[in-house]
Order: sequence, then C-alpha cells, then structure tokens
Amino acid sequence: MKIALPILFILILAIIQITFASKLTVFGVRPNFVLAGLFVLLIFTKNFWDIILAAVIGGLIYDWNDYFFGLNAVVLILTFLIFWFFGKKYIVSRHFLPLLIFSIFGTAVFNLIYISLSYLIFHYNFFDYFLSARQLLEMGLNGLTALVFGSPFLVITKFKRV
Amino acid sequence: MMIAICGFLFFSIGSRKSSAANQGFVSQIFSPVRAYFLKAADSIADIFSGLLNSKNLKEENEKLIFQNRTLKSILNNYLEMKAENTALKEALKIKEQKNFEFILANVISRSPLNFSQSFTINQGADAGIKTGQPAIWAGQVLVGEVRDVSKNTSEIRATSDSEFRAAVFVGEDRTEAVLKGYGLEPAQLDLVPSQARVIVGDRIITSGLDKKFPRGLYLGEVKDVKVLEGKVFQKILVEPPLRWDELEEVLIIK
Repeated sequence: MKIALPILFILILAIIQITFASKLTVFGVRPNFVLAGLFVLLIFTKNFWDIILAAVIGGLIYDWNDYFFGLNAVVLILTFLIFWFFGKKYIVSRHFLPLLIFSIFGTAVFNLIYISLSYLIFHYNFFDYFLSARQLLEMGLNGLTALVFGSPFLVITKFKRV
Repeated sequence: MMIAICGFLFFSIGSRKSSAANQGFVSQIFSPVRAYFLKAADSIADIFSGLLNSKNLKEENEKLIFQNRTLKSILNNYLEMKAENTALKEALKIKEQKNFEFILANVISRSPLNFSQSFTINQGADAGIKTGQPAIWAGQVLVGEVRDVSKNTSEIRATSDSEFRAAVFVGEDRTEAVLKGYGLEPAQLDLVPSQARVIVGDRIITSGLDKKFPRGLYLGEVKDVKVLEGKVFQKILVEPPLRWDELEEVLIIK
C-alpha cells in the first residue's frame, strides 16, 4: 500500500498534466506537475525505489504524449538522482523552504538536461526557451505547484510532531 | 328570564328581513381572518400529509433526480452532436469548394512540457491517416500537421512548434514567405525581403509551393513588422487565429 501511494500520486499528476495543464497556463507557460510532485516525494518520503518507480511511470506517461520516447523518464530519473545524492544531505527538516528551493532549481536542472539531450540525440533545438524569461516563470510556477502539492504533507508532518 | 327570552324572539322575528344584509356585513368583516385561518389550516394539513407521505415524497424526489440526470445526459449528447454537426457542415462546405476528403478526430492528449507543441488524436493508420497530412479546424484554419502515426492514434505537430515550417502568401500582394513556429513565442515569417510591402493585419495563407499543404489554408494575421537596418529580411510576427491547446477536435485532410 505504501509503495502504491507515491505511484498513484505521480500517476494522477501525469494525467492532469497531459489533459488539463494546458488550461492552467501563465503567459503560455505550463507548470510541470510530475516534476513538482517528485520533489514533494523527495522531501517527504524516504524510500528511494518508490520515487524511482514513480519517476519512471510519470516519465513514461509524458513520453507517450511527447516527441522523444524515453527521454522524459530518463531526464526525470537523472534530475531525481542529482537531488537525492547531492541535495538530500542539505535537508535539515521537512520544511516548505527546501521544497521551494529544490523545485525551483530542479526545474532548471530538468530543463537543461532535457534540452541538451534532445539537441544531442534528436537534433531539436529548444535552447531559445531555456534562455527566455518563460524559463524563469516556469521555475517559479513549479515552485508554487510543489508548495501546493506539498502542503498536505507539511500539515501531516506538523501534526505528527505535535 | 321569560321576559328576556320573549324579547329576544320578538327581536329576531322582527329583524328577519334585514338578517341577510347583516350576514353579508359580518362575513365581510371576518373574511380576511377566515382566509388566514383557512390558509393556516391548509398548511397544517399539508405538514401532516407530508409527514404521512414522506416515504412517497422521498421516492418521488429520487425519481425526479434520476430524471433530471437522464435529461442532463441527453442534453449533453445533444450538445456534443450539435458541435460535431457544425464541424461536419463546415467540412462539407470546404469539401464542395476544394474537393478535400476529411477525417474527423478528437484530441485525446496534449504534449506535457513547454518545449514541443503537439497533441494526440484518436485516429491513426486504420482511419487512413498518414504522416505529413494537414490538420485544420474552424473553417480552413491550419492548426498543424501529422507528425507521427500509430494504429489508432496520431501525433499532430502544431503550427507554433519550433520545427513547423510552411510556405505562405502574405497580404494582398501575395508576398512569398516561410512561416516558422517558435514554441511559446509568436510564430515568425521568414525570407520576406525588406523591400516587400507587408503591413500589420495582413492575412497569411498557405501557398502550396512546398507541396506539403494545399493552397489557401489560413494561418493568421501579421501582428508586428520590423524592418531592421542592414538586414536583408524583415522580422514579422504572426498572430494565430486560434490556440492549438484549446482544440478538442480537428479535421485531417486526406
């Protein structure tokens, strides 16, 4: 049951992303729900393999609706690994601040890896987006999205402490 | 006592003639009160009958809720059919004008990230869709081209995608140009010489010279024109007529 929860959480977010997310845009920019959800899991769950599995499932759903099959799953896993091995040690407590910082910088890392790989492997050039103001907007949006999705977990953590 | 009774009888017999008028007068005075009492009595009777028939009322309420839901569902079907009918009528008009064959498809998902601008439809190779076929909507508005086809689904690259290219005519002078998608940024017209006369509001249609799209499909209007000094070509931004991420159905030209 515990394994199913992170997967279910990411599955729902991925379905929302491919269906309704285009209606939730700010200046044409959509938040990345699965990425934000992964950072919520990164901060609030402990099981490494649960999150990897959730990243694979979220990534594959993205891939079925995107140009390059497999790329989203790979990039989501890489981003998660970077933050798990190099970032997790800096998390002192389950607080909204690490969630916000991780999701903002995580967006930049995810987009950079995605754009680089799509350019190197598939010769698609999305660097214009990465260097535009919309990239900054997406970072902010993902930060807010992670806070929204993470708020129930934050509340639960607070209650557990009490 | 006897005298009083006799007096009352005498008075009542004596005044029998005017009793009808008295009765009318009394009923006039008491009629609002009587109406009030009647109403109150009715309400109390209703409450009691409601209490007694509560089971029947509940059943009736459930029946009405069910009927309401059924009617809503029928209305929904009707609206769906109406929208489809409008689209097909539009397609029929174009078919008569240009002799195109169409496949009507529903949009089932949209690209998840901000990079690629594409969507998936519920018709694929089985319905006769092939790579490169144009997708249109709202009359003759070109919304994209088929990028990838599987058995039952196809992926459509929107006109705003950074890999989208189309040969076009601009304005009344029919200046030749190439429309390029720029992702979330507005699409641009490329290869328009700086001497060419292009003004804001000029209509952009496919020229058919790329042998990719039929001539005359609408792509939008000129939004902004910049003639840069020392540059051979103008920088022209395009305003699309509709947003691809709001589409629910498209027509694929066979």
